[in-house]
Amino acid sequence: MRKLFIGLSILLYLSCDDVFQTHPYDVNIKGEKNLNAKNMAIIEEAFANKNPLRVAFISDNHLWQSDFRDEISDLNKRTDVDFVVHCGDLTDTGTNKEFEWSRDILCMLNHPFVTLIGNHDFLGTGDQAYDVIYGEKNFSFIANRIKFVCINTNATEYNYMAAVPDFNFMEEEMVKDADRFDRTIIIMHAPPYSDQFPDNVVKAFRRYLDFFPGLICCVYGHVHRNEVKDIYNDGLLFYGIDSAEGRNYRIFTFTADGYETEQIDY
Amino acid sequence: MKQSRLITSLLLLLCSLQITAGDSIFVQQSHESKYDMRIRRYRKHWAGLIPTQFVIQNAGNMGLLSAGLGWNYGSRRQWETDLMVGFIPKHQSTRTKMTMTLKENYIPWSITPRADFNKQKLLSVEPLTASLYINTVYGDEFWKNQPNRYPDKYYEFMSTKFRLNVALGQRITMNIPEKLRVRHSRVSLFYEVSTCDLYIRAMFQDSSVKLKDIIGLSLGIKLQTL
Repeated sequence: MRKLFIGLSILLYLSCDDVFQTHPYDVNIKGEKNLNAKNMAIIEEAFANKNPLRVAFISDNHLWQSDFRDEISDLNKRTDVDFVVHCGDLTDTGTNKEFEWSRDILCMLNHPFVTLIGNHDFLGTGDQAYDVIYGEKNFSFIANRIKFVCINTNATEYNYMAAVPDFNFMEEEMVKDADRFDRTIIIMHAPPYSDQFPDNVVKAFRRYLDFFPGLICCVYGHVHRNEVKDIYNDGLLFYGIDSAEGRNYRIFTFTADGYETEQIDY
Repeated sequence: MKQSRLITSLLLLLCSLQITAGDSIFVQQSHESKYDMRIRRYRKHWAGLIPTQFVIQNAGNMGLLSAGLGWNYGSRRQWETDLMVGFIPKHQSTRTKMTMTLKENYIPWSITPRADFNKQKLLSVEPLTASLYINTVYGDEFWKNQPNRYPDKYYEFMSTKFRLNVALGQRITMNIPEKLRVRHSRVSLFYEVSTCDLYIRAMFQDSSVKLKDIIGLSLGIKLQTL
């Protein structure tokens, strides 16, 4: 009896596979991993001197999977988009399954894409799943001599006990590869003065932005609204990207002497 | 009903003891003292807490493998409560995690097939089991209630620590012949198809999430001791 029992237990243990659900937060990621690094390599190589550079910004798909699929297929219809930036909240509850669902939809894109982490993506072990599928939470890449600096601003998720936003990272990025870029665009999930952004560094954050060469503008998600704001009343524009449910995204066209932007409904 | 039967049988037993006592030199006390009766009841009540079964099963959003003790009750022993401990392997996360599950099963029918191979009624089939269980996962990544660093109702759903799960399944039970019994009287093999609250919520939020995307299989063994 005991032998049979042990034998069956081992069989059960070995049989664990896709049909078996271990736990919503088990961080057992199958399929594509480390996507940001892979895509940034593609972007940096393909669009190093691409001018004009056309970038689509999407955000906050949460669980609106049908809308998100429509968004991706609408982007696939466009041949003029060079790459796509997702501003975070790939999931609603940070489960593995949701991460895999949104990743598989994103992977249907014909264009390269990078993805920021949103506050919902931290729930449970979500941030660990993000690390596996996408990579570092702060990252940057260069295309058309513009540096895209992606900063994790979800400080509430760390109970304000981590360096978020990370000023060391920002300092490094101001000077790193200085010979390869002349302009900068800052991308984040939660904008300054939002419930995730730590209040006491809102102004310090703005000061740091001035050290980035040729600062163009900032882009954020989180608010589920398409909006353009001069948050600090000093002329620096912040573009809020709508959620997938809002069924619109924003395209930026960066030329040698500036940029144009338009909201696209789908 | 049961109690009266128990009392009658006890009385009968006492009578028989008395009859034999009459023939022997020992004289058996004819009445159970109040103390003995209380002790008997006391033992009987606590004996109800002795687990009747041992369960081991995999997956089911409780971890890779969970094992625990359980109790069955009801007129046909159609209700079961299991308390299980499981673990989630480290995988790509920072550490291995422990889980605990409180599971309630309802087994409406048990069918004994009338076939030649089953003349001794050793085999029975439970065509449906319905389960509801709460799973908790240990670790500081998970919270029971939304911590107060968040604004009110920031995350609408209840908790990252506790999951409510539902499952439907089937069983096949083998009655071990009395001569061969060592520790257990019956062995059941079962499977369950389950899902959890977060996934059901996802299905309600978007129609493109299909039932097959959110259900998972779980296999298990139940060893019935009592």
